Amino acid sequence: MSQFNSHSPPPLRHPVPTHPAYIPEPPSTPASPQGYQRFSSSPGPGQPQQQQSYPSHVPAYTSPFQHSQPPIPPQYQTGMNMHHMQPQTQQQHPLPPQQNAHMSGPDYAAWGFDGATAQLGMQLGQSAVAAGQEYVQRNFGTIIPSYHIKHYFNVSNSYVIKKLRLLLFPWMHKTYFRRPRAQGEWLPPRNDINSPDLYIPVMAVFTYILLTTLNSGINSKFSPLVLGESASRSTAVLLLDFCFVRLGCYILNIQGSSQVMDLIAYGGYKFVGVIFTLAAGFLGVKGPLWTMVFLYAFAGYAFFLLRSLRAVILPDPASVPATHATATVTQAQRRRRIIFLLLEALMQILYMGWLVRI
Amino acid sequence: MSLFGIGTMIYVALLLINAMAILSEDRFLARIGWVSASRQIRDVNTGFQQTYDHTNAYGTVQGEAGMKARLIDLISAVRTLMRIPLIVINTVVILYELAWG
Repeated sequence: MSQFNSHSPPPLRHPVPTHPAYIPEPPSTPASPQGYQRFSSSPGPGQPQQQQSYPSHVPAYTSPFQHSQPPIPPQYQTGMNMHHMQPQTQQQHPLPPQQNAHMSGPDYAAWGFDGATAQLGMQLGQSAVAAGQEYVQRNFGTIIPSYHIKHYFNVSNSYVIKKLRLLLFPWMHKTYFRRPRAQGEWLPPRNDINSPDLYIPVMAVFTYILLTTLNSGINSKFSPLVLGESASRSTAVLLLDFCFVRLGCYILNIQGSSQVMDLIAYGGYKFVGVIFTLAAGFLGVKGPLWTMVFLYAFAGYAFFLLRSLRAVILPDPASVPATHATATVTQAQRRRRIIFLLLEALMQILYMGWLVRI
Repeated sequence: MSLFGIGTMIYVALLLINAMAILSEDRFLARIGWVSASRQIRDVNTGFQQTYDHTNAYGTVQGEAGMKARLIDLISAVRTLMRIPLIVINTVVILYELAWG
């Protein structure tokens, strides 16, 4: 069976040779008068393919029939008839009757239509399904480009640890500019600690949801609704933050490489600080000390966000190629952008304060 | 505990977009001078080479006018683009609120 599986035909061949008449061959061949027929049929050059294709067809053949009618006497009998016809025709030409028996499946007659119609229908159906899948992939691939998403999850253990340390203690980090790999491409997060990734935000959001649920469980107020509520709240925070930054970028006429996923990733890092505060609360920190912890987490994240979004909102004049006339930022524009950046960083205290109040 | 979920946010966004789409260009926006600049210039002398003057005017002022122009563009874009979808979305939301609200 293993060699059959290794040589199993491509899926398009499945509907073609569905042939129930082949199954009862081993018991029937000894009864047949031509003993040499059996012997000559197996080692022949054309026969091994048929022999190989027959066991792999068995599941494909049996499963639809078990669906349609569990006891299969009618086509079993037709199969037997077909088989008794088979050796007589095989005396003249060994190969063509086999193919003929494969092609004209009598099982389709049991379903109510002939073999050609069934094959055409199945091929049509398969091509339709394939076309549908391709359509979905093409259209949703443009909305959510899978290659870019994969790029954001290209992380390593050391990157995650370094990034978490950077998020909690962003004070000592020198430069926040990302390093380009090629023209218009950035290094993946695995190689560049300043690159935004999506792994940490996704994990942080899930951890946050579980922590809120754990908190309600500790207070013996658990209900499954808590999961949905915290998930909805975290999604709302992410969307709100993203929309605010996007609207600000539009109004301030900031044209840059500020991609959607970058902004979502930068917004998602706030959950690390939130989880830090929540963990402090679980460890028994209360009162003003807890407020201090929260303020520290907020300050760290705001600092990180200021430095990170600065690369997006205020591109360095030296690093930006002076091809665009819009790259030159006037003084008033620059001041306005800095105000927007500060506002965005200060708004994080609202988001985080809302998130930690579980 | 959850006074503000994603559903509330969708409602707020829908209401805000409604509010932007409802602004009348002739009766309200023109009165406070928030008409899109291309339309203003087109009124003066109907021509095609307005774009250059347009950008030059913006290049000189650039600060406040830039932000204002972006806002005006945003409002006019919302008014143009979201009119038909808003009808559908509002109908669906109203039916939902009638049935289960």
